[in-house]
Amino acid sequence: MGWNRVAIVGVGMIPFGELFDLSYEAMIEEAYVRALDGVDKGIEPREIEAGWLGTCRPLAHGTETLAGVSLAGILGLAGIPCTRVENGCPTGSDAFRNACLGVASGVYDVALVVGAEKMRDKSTEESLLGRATQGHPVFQRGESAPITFAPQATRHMHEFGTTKEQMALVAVKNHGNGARNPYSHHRKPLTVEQVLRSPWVCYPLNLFDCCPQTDGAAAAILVRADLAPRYTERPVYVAGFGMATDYQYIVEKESFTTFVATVRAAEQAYRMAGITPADVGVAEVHDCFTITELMNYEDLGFCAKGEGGKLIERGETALTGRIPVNPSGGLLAKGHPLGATGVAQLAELFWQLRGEATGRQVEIRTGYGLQHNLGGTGIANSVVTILTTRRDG
Amino acid sequence: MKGVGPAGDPVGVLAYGVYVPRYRIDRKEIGRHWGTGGRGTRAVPAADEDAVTMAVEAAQATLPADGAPDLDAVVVTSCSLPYAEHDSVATITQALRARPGVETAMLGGTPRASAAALRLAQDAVAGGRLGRVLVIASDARRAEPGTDLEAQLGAGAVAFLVGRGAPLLAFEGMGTGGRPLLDRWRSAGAEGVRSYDARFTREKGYAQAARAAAAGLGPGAPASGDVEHLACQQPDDRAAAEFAKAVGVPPERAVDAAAGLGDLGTAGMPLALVGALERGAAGERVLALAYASGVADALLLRIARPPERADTLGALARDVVSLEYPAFLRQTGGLRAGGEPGRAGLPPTSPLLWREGPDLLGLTAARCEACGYLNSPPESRRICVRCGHRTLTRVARARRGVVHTFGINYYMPPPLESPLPVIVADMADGSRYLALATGIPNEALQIGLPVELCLRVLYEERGARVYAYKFREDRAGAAPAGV
Repeated sequence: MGWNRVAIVGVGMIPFGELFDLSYEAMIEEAYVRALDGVDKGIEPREIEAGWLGTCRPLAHGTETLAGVSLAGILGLAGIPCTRVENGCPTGSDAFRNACLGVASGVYDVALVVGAEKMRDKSTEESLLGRATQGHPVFQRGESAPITFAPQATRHMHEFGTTKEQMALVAVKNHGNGARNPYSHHRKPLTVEQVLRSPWVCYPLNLFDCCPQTDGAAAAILVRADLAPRYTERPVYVAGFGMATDYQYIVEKESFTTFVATVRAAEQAYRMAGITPADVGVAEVHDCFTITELMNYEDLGFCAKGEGGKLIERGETALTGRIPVNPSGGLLAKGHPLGATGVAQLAELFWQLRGEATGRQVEIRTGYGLQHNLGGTGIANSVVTILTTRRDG
Repeated sequence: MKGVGPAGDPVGVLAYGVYVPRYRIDRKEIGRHWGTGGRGTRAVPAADEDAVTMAVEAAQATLPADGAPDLDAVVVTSCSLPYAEHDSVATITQALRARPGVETAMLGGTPRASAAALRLAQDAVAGGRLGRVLVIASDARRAEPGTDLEAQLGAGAVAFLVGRGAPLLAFEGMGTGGRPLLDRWRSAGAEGVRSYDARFTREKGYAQAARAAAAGLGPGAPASGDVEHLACQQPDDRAAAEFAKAVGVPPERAVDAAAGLGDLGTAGMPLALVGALERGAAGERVLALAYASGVADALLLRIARPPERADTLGALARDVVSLEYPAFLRQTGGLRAGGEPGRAGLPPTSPLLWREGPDLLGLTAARCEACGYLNSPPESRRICVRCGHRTLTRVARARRGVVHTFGINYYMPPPLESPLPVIVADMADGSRYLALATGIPNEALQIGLPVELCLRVLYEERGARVYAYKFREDRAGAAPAGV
């Protein structure tokens, strides 16, 4: 039996992309309004009792202010408690997890979660790549996002014979899905050849092995499960979640072919939801790079360790496969606005589980969807969330 | 450790080490771009090397792997230390894990400084005040593009451990003399060395200085024509022959240490001395000459214990990578990438680097007494990250290992340059270490490749340098020579 103490009654997100016309605040407002509008029976803003804002790198990217006031203070909700969460790439999903804890505690009946990130108000050199000249002056010199993942790919290829073609298939699948999703940053299908011929970003990763830099925001409204019928006849319940950590620097990792944080977070989530990986019917996983998605298949238990490349070759994670992964286009196509990513993945699962993912709807067989993020310095943070439409899980 | 060895033992060179960068450029390749000629090659430092990093390499090749706990003093001679004001020797002693109270000195401003350093070291040891003194001569001098010296100046470092005991080379006499003239100079604030007419220098500089210095050895010294080896600093390719003629030594007795390498500055005479030692026999004598600006220092040494089968000069000629002129310019600072450099956001002498600097330079780790894991940096790891145990001991990390995995960044913001490989290696002590790579061609990078950590300039900000270890290929046979 799942946890199911909290339900999502409405979600909203803005189409991701290079949103030069939209400010950080405007993105949050739009995602919020869409979430309110997404509640079937309607909801009044004054019913919202607390807010959680997920933004990973304020100030590094734009004009975001510090603290959670960026949320309540701009949405006409000033007065309610608001907390900003920063937790690496799982920032959005961890904001969601904290909101779940707040609602489940009984202190709040209704909570708002917004994830937002402005990544394109600064040049590439100044935003994500700027990390290469920041951080620990010696241990993190030259450390960009790709260089923390590339060594895992090199080692995975060495140990398991994973190929560049198998990695490219992830990009092909996700860009194909993204082409069907109006919320996706990139909306053009790719071929394996195009992926393999794209320029090197960080060996062994080519350009299309990497997610783009994207602006975006997404929002969700959570309520105590027993109150859900007030807002919708078709709530999506939080069946379980997990959050786990690994070591601070990647050199401290015990293995370069597994993300232990993912394994641990998934174990917690499966236990809480009372399911096994075989029960997952659709998944939105953290495909910041193609290799990450292949390793996620293994770490989340969709296949055995080392078999990730074969799983995608067999088409099992395609939109029509046994376990469709990243029907939204994933981080690779839809984009990865850090704080928004996790909330947007949950929004996608909300729509998928309710059969509302127009153009990219997967067949819902089990009624369970799995969301996953991974990241932070050392790739040491992971959040896994399991959603379900089954009231009694 | 004062008075190592019985007081009656001779004072001399107990051990030595040499480091010369692998890169060479053909002088014709330089001349091709300026419409001039040229013969032979010169040694070129890597872009991330300087006199400090080369000094550390030479010293590490001299000292045992566990560092230098028994050093009493470190004397560094150089004309090209990166700072006009700042104690570069402190960086070197931290990298060598010398004891905190080790005495240090810098002698520079003239390529003759290495002779002065050896003299001072010999006096201090002979007088009993110091036991073991490490003398390091290191230079990576620069000259402006298009000048004669651009093709002439090389780069390299030599270290000598001076003490009492059973020396390889024993000191027998010293002299100095000459009439000063201005043949090469670098004014304060200028980056490049300048030179005056080469023929005037040869005619009025070399010969009279060499004769005066040899005469300064005193009446008890052998006629210089009787020495078996002449080891001189070589400001140009003809200097060795000129010096030999001046002091009456047959030219074949002069060691040509500049061949292929160029003028190594303060390291020039020491490298020739290494060449003499390695080719000589016990009992033979070496006349060493360090020349600059019309004045020379002479050292008379006796080969006491020649090393077996050592051929440093031969190894330096074999293990080379040839450069084209643009790469040469890039490595010597004549060609710099533009763009807006990203800032580390830390002043280079920040509290963080002050706290962790000794561990970063000394390559130390905090070993967990329960599970054995090596935690880094020790200053920030008071609890073992692996097992939570709280008794940690500071230990030296292994410098050699094999590549466990790697990635190559092709797109880095300035001041970083791409492609920039990052290596995670399985080290000889069972630990893992991550560092940037240096000098490893992309196509050579593979899992299992033997690699070795070497100290390099990681970056420069506000005119200050941050040094850190990088991985280079571990070419065991071609590693820096040393005995």
